[in-house]
Amino acid sequence: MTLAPDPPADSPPQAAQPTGASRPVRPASWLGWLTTTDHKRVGLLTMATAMVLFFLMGVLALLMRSQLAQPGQNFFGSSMYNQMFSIHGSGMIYMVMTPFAIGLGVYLVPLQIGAPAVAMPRATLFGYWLYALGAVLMLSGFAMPTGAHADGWFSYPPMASSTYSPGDGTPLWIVGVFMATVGALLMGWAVLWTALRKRARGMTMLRMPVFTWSMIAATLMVIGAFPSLLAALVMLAVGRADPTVFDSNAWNIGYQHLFWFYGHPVVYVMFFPYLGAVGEVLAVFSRRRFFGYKGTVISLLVFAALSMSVWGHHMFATGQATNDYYSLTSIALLVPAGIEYFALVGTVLGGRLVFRTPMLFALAFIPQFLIGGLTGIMVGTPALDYHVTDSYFIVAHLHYVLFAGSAFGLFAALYFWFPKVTGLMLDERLGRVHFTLMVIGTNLTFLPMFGLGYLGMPRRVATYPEWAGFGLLNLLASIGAGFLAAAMIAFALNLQQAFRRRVPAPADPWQGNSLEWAAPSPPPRYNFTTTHPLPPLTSNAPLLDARMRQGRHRAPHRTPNGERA
Amino acid sequence: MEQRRVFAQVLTVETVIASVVFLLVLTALLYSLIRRRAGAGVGPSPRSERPRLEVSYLAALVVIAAGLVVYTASANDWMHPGGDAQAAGRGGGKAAPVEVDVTAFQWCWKFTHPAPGAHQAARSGHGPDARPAADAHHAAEAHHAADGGHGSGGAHGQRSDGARAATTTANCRDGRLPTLVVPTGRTVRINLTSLDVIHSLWVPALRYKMDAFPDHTNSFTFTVDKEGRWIGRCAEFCGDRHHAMEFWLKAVSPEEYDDWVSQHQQDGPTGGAAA
Amino acid sequence: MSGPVPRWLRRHPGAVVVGGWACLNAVLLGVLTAYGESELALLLWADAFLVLVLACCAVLVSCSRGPLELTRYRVPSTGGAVVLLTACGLAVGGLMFVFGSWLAALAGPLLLVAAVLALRRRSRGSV
Repeated sequence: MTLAPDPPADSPPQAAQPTGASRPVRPASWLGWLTTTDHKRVGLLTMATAMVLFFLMGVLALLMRSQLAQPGQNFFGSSMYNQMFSIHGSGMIYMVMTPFAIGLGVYLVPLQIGAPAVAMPRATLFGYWLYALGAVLMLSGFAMPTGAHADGWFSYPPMASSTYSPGDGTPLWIVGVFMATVGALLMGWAVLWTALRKRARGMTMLRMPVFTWSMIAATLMVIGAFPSLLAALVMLAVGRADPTVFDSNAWNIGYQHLFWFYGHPVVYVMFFPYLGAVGEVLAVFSRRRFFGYKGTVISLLVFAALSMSVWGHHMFATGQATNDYYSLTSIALLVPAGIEYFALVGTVLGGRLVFRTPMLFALAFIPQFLIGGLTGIMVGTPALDYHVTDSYFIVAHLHYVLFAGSAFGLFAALYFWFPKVTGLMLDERLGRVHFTLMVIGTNLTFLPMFGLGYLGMPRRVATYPEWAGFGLLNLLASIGAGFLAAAMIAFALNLQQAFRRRVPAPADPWQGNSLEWAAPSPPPRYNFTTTHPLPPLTSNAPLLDARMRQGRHRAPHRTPNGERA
Repeated sequence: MEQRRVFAQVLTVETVIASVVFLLVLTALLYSLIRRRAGAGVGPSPRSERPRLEVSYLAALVVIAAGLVVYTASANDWMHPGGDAQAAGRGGGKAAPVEVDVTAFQWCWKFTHPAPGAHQAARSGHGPDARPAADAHHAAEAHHAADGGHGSGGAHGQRSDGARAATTTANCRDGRLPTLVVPTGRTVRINLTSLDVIHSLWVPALRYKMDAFPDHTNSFTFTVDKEGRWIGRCAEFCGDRHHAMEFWLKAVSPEEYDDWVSQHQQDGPTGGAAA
Repeated sequence: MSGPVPRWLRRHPGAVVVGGWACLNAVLLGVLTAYGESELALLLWADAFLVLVLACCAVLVSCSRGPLELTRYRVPSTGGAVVLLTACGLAVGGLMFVFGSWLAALAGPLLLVAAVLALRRRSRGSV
């Protein structure tokens, strides 16, 4: 069916009325998957690709931690080590956290706003393929005789120029990252357009779930900031063709401006969707609607706008940025961030908490990301940043944001929506094992790194001498990495068991709030069917409203305002 | 060690604030984990917002943010006391700051102490922007030192702007680290540039770092209060031997410093710095 | 943030959001200029602003053409093969930057096939 050249289907209101179209698409041929225009399949392809890369990049991290576990070790040689940290960072940022976030949006946003499809499905698929092929190109650097890219994920010139980084790894990295970024732009634009222009009748802007709003804010930043990375990459490519370009300081510092103009917003692109997911999970497992919805929506938008003016805080030590300004805007971020935290904590404080695996990850997200955020204020303070920038303090900070924060949000989302997406339940016990190991591993790995940075360990060092005194904390971090490896094995086992045991998931296994839980699990081609129609769109938690209407006698509380958005 | 003092103060203040916030959130979470769990027999709150509370909270956040902005901006000021003249007056009493030209290269450092007076002449002559060009001959020399492996902390004098300058460099291999010698109690001005890629000069004990760019000179000042020796590192990734690109910062008494400089001005390449 | 949504906000939420966002940016830009940041930084920001304004315009034009919320959807279910071929063609094309222009001999045909397929689809679809 996906290959048949049929005319555009004009579907009536509840989208999937035509009986022929509402049948779930059989996982037909592999070619059917690879050329699908179904937003759910494109989203799944994106997330699955990102997940595979997540494991690979994790392996690179383990190798690095094994080298750093003891002073003076250099199993791989610094050239190989440099390739590993570069591809680990580039991979996790460009090829895992960003695409997974956008893929989650491609899958969920149409469902959450009651649409049968994503806007521009072919462009979305095109975006996926650019991303996937770009990832392959970037990784293929390892097959080159000179090795993969080895200049870190931000690849400052002149280090990344052909003079100082000869070989094919860096150009492959440039092409790969360029393609993945164009792909992310296309998918991001499709998600934004879907949320803004494809909403079902009755789905007003202020009835959209928090996750959809977080995707809007994230995709706005994608559109505003990602072109800047493309420009930076073109600049790098030009400089590789003619290395004299980077003889001039203006181009070197210009690259840093261009790069960080992308590089900071992308942190929020890798954070907002997971924050939105955590918000949904917290609300559902607190058995209530999300607290402080409007404040959160506004703060997400303010956050997105502010994020475009903080990039210089990555350049405090360059001596070529107006540090006080970037410090001002960076610290101003604590206002919208504080509002969001207020909403997260407020949701839990007034809830009736049910501790399922997604909820565990979402709850751990709150204090762990907070550590990332609070140390973010520290590194946004120039007087502190001069010492800690480019040290392990930054490594710890960014991993608390992206791993202890975003990756926990990712797993909360994954455990939460897995039954919806596959129609299968994950095992609770293995989920708890995964969660426990993750919490131990994350904090054991990244907490000592704050100390290392304070003591003076620079980031991106292949090894360190014994007299430097970094041994103990590094050993702790490496042990933590072992826990993380065990956690990921538990997770992989859980996935494998789920597909083997095939415990069927109902349409709404968690008592969800938003529209996707009204669709069957997994949702059919056009999402909503005559047997699973769109419920009345009464607020940002229409299913909760419906449950309350049905079971009013059971609910001990009245619902003031509840029905209105 | 103005930077170190300011760093300690700001770190303390921000750590206290951060700890209070963290504990507040943690307390709220633990409270809900215990008192709001399904087993505790409470129903979920029907209130989906508390506009008044949210607005006052917002106001509080704005006030805190504004306070922090002012505080961090002043801290940044304390670290970089005023303009050049003021810095000299404050840190070193009457004397002009001790100038040291630092050149970073793959993968070590070169420290040039111009003869007193020479620097001012050079400055007034071309202005600071002329420095990269003036460093051209340093480039060849530094590479020579790095390639030839001149031995431990080789220091030698050279003619520069009509006066001898004392220079130390090394190749950062097998423990041969160059030493940056500075006098205690006097303001030291570092003029920092690079020959090849971007490096970053970091002395963890000073709590300060500054990037070294090719085709650009960055300057900063610091004062060391007591004699001693501290490790300095490269903090910006610069290639295969980035991890080994270290140097010693050694503070000696002003008299000893003057002796050291004049000795290395006269001795030429034979002198050896304490490593 | 307040309880009931004011009428002006309910009627033109898009305009309010865009206006508020623009005002915030104008303030930030003013501060940035006051701090004396380089032209490059200002230009960067102006560019991003322009891109987002263009995106806003696209949304506004689309809104003026169609209803705010939809009841009818056009759902294409074909065209994936063309997309895959194009992406592969572009990837090979990108490799020209690494391995030289001889790869055009590979990328060209791939893109050509994709173009032919797309044209055939279109002509058949319009029938």
